[in-house]
Amino acid sequence: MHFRHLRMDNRLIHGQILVSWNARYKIDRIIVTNDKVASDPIQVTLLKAVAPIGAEVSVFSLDETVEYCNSPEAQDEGIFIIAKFPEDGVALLERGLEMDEINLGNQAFVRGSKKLSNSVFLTDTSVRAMQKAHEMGVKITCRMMPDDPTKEFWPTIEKSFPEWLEDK
Amino acid sequence: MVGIVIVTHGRMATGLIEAAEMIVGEQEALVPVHLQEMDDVEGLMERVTKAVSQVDSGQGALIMVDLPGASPFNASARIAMQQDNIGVVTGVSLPMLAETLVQRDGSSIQELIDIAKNAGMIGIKDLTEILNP
Repeated sequence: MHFRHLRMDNRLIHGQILVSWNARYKIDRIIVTNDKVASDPIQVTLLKAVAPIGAEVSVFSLDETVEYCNSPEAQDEGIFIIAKFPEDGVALLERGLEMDEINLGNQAFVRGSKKLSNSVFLTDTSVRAMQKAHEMGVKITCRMMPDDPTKEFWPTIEKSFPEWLEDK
Repeated sequence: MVGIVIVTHGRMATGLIEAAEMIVGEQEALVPVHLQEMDDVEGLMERVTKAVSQVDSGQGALIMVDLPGASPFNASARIAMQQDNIGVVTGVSLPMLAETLVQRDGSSIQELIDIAKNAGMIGIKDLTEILNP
């Protein structure tokens, strides 16, 4: 089984991924996915220009990402998927991408978000998106670096944002 | 004179400026911007844009960043692609910065980029090769 990882990181491709993750895993392709980013030619050009050593970069819409990852050619590649927001990552799961684990990376402060850690701020819609992933049986981790603990992170989110949870 | 903005992970930019000024003396139109843990690229872009307007006296600005492809680079590149008279060079180091600063007067942005690249590359030496040429 080839490496496959889904990280939700609003900084998209950046230093931690280029250096630490790329050194640890055999990554053939990085897929950056968010509908807005995929339709911005400046961001697409830049993201493709600075691919890490040994990897190719694709910038896809959410639908294109699911389609590509489920295609036969993708089965022979180590793929690191970077969804810009938790909403994007969870939308991939809902549209048919199969992952056992999704990883919460950097999420900067935006209006209405609350602090979870120095590098993670969550909005109500991102918390609810991850609640959906949790209810689908997907493990949620919060690993900035490959060596960070792989423990289930949902209880921490649940405890930090009880006011934003959807009633079951 | 071309203005210079240094954009790095953490406080490296401030440290580099402090180090360079020990070598070439106090500088004007030289400003650090730091990526912090809680930043996003858009927020960083705002701070870099502000720094560029601070150092640009009409001859443009050179942005020096640390790691190609990382957030300081991504933010700076997006600004440079949308605004004239801005250059971006990666791999900022003390040899690169010091040489660029002493050559700054009278040089264009493109000339400074060539100076910076060259100084950065020749600033890397293996002592064994120096001792056994």
